Amino acid sequence: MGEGVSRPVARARIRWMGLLVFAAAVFLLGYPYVFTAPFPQHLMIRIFLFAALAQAWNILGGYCGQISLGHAVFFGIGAYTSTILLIRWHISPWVGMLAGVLLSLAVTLVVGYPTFRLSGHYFAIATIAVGEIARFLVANWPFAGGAVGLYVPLLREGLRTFEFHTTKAPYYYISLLLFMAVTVATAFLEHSRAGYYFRAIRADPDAARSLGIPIHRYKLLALALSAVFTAMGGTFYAQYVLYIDPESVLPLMLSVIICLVAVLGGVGTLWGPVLGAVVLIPLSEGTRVYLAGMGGAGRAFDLIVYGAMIVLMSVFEPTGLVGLWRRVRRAWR
Amino acid sequence: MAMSVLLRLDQVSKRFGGLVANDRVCLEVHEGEILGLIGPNGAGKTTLFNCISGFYPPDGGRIFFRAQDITGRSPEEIARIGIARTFQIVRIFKDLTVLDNTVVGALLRARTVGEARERALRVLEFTGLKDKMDRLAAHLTIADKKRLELSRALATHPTLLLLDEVMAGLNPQEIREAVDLVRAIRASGVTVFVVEHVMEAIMTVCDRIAVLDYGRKIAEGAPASIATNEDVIKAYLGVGYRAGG
Amino acid sequence: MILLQGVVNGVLLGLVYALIAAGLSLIFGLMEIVNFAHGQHLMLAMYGAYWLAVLYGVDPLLSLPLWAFALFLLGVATYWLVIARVLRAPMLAQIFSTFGLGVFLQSLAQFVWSPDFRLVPSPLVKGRVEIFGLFVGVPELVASIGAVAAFAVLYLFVMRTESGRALQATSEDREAAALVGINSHRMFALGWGIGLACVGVAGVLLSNFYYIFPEVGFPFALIAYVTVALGGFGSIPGAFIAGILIGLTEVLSGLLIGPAYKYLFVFLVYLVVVVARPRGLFGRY
Repeated sequence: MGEGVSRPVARARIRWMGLLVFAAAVFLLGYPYVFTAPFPQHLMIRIFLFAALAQAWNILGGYCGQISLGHAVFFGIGAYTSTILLIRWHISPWVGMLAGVLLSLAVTLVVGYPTFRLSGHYFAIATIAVGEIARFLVANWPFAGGAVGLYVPLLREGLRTFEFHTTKAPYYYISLLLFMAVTVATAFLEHSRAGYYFRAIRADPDAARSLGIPIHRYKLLALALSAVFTAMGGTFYAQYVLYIDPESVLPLMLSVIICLVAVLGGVGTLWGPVLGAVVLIPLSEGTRVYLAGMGGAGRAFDLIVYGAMIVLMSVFEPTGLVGLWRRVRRAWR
Repeated sequence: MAMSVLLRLDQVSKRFGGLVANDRVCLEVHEGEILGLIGPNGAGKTTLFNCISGFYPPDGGRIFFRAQDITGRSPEEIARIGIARTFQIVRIFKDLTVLDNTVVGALLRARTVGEARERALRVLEFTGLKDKMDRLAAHLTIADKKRLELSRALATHPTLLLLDEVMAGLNPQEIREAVDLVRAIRASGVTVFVVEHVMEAIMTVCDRIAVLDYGRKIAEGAPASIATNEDVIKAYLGVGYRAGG
Repeated sequence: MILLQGVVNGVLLGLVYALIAAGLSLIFGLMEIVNFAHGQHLMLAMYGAYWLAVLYGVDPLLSLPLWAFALFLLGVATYWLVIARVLRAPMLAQIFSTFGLGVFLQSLAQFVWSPDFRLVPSPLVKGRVEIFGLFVGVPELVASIGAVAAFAVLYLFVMRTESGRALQATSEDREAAALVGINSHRMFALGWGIGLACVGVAGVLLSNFYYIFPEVGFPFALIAYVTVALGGFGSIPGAFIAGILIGLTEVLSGLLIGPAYKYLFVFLVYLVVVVARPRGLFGRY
C-alpha cells in the first residue's frame, strides 16, 4: 500500500492497470490459438501448474509463516486418490478430485494438530517425515501400484472424463483456471480476517495470542486451504500425464521445487509465485533439454542449482524477486 | 465511593526451577483506577503480568477477574475476557502497516473486516497515530512503536489494560505524552495496571502503587506514602525520590 | 532369543543414532537453528572414508580422526559463510538456508559420484562374534563403542574444559554469557564444528558396514530429528538416552510388526512425544 497519492495519479494508475489486465487476458486466452505446437502449450501448462502449487504453498508458508518441506504429499494424495478411484471403481476424476481434497484435509488434521502447537521447526521436520513416509508407503503398497506406478486408463476424451488426446488446449485452460482460482482465493484471503490473522501469526505468534487469536485453529486453516489446492493440482497432473508413480508425484524434489518457486518469487506476496514460476520453469525445461545427454546426472544438476538458489535467496534476498523489484522501485524514486 | 474489584490476585506464586519469581502475591485492581507496580529489576513484575495474561500458569494461588476464576487460562481466552497487554520488549507486527497492526487487534470484537478497520481508525485517531497509518511498523521510532502496540491492545476493546514498562527508552517529552495518553485511556473507561521503572511518570499518573521485591509484595498505597516507605527505599538501595521534590 | 538379539541390535544402532543426534541437539541448543543438512553432512563423512579407503588404502578406522577434524572445519566454515548471515533473519530464511544446503550437497554428491551404491572394500573390522549366545557384527560393535567413546569425549569437553563450559553458558543464556565476555559468534562456530565432527565420527564408523550412496544420510537425519525431539532439544544426555530408545523402537517394531513399518513407528513416536511432552525427556523447550 503506497503512501497517499493524489487523485489524478490514482486514476491514471487504475487506467494503466486496466489496460494491463486486458492485454494479459487477451494474451492468456488466445495463447493456444497462436502457439498451436505441443511444446509451448506444455510449457505454459507447467508454469500454471507450478504457479498454482507455489501459490497454495504460499498461503501456509508465505502468509502464515509455517514452512512445509513435504508439500508433495498433498499433490500425491490428489493424484493417487483420483487415479485409484478411476481404475478400481470407474469413478469420474472430478469426483476423484473431490475425494483427494477430502483425504488431504484428513491428513492436515492428523499432521497439523499435534505439531502446530510448537515452534515452526517441529512442523517443518514433521512435513519432511510425512512426505517421505508417504512415498515409502505408496512404493510398497501393491494396491496403489507400488513402485511401478499406475497408468490412468485411456478413455474417450472429453470434459467428463477429464482426458484430452488430440490437443493440449483444454488442459491449458483448466490449468489456467486452477491457477486463477488459487490466486483469486489468495487475493480474497489477503483482505479477510483469516488473512490478517495469518500474517499476525507469522509476524509474532505470542503477540497474536495476546490479541485473542486462536493461532492453532488458524494454522490448521492455512494448512487446509493449502492442501486442498495442492491436491487439486495432483489430480490435474494425473489426468494430464496419464501415468503416476511415487517418484513423479511424491518425491522430495517436487516439494523442493514448489518451495523454490515460492521463495524465488517472494513469499507472502500475491504475485511472487507467478514470478517464480515464470522464471524457474522455462529455465528448468531449458536445462533439461540442454543436459539431456547427461542422463540421470542431469536431474541431479537441476537440484544442485535449485539447492544453491534456495541458500542464496534465503541468505541474501528472503523477500524474493518481488522484494528485489520493490527495492529497485524505491531506489528509483 | 465504593470501587468494585476488577482483578484480584490471591496468593499468586510462580517458580522457575529453584528461583521464586512471585511469592504469594495478593493484589486488587479496582475498576476505573490506574494502579502502578514497581520494584527493582528481577522483582517479578513482568512474571506477574505473564501469569495474569495467561502466558505462564501460576504454580500457586488464584486470579479472579470480576467473579470469574481466570487462573491458567490461555492468552487468547484472557484477551477475549477483556484483558489486553503490551510487552516489555515491543512486539509489533513488523511487516504490517500501522493500520493493519491495529486492525488485527480490532478484529477481536468486530464482526467484519470493514468494522474492524473503522474501529482501528478511531483508535489511531485517539492515540495520535492516524497520520502514520500507512507506514510500515518496522519504520517507526521506538516511541511510536510503543504507541502502536498500545493502540493495537486498545483496539481489542479491553476492560483492563496491562502496560509493561511502556515508558522505557522514551525521552522526557515522549514520557509526558505517554502519561497524558494513559490518563485519557482511563477517562475513556479502561482500567489501567502499569509496570514501570520511570519514577516521575508512575508517581504522577497512578492512583495507587504496589511494590514488589524478590517476588513478594512489600508495600501498597498512595504514591506519597510509597515514596516515603522505608522498605521501599531500602529495596531500591537509595534511589532518592521523594514526593514533592 | 530373537527378541534379545533384537534388543542388542537396537541398542547398538541406537548408540550411533545418539551420536548423530547429539550434534544436532548441540547446535539447536546454542542458537535455535535446526541443521536440515545434517544427513548430508553424514553422507559426506561416509564418502570421505570410502574414497580414502579406495584410493589410498587407508582404513576407515585410521582415517577417522582426519575426517572428524575435516567435518569440524566444515562446520565452522558453514557457520561463518551461511549461518551467521541468517541468525537475525526470519525463521523461514533460517530453515531454508540449511535445507537448501542439504539439497545442494546431496545432488552434488549424486552428480559427482553417481547414484551407485558403494561399500568400503575389506575394512579392518569385519565378521561376527558370538557373545553369550548372541551374534553381533564386529563393525556394528565397533561403531557403537566408537559412539560411546565420542560421547565420553564430548561430555568431558563440555563439562571439564573452559571452552566447553563457555559453550554450556552460551547455550543456557546467550546474553548473560556475552556479559561475562564470552563471544557468542565464536561459541556458535565452535558448536557447529563440534556438531559436525560428531556426525563425521558417526559417518566414518558407519562406513565400515553400511552401503554408501547420495541419499544415505536422509533416513538417518529423520531419525536424528525424532531422537532430538524425544531427548529434548539442546540436551546431550537426552540425545544419548533417546538414541538408544529410538534404536530399540526401530529394531523391535521391525521384528514384531514388519520391516516396512519401522519408520512409521519412529514417526509415531515423534508425534506422541511432540504432543505429550514437547520438551522431550531432558529438554529445555
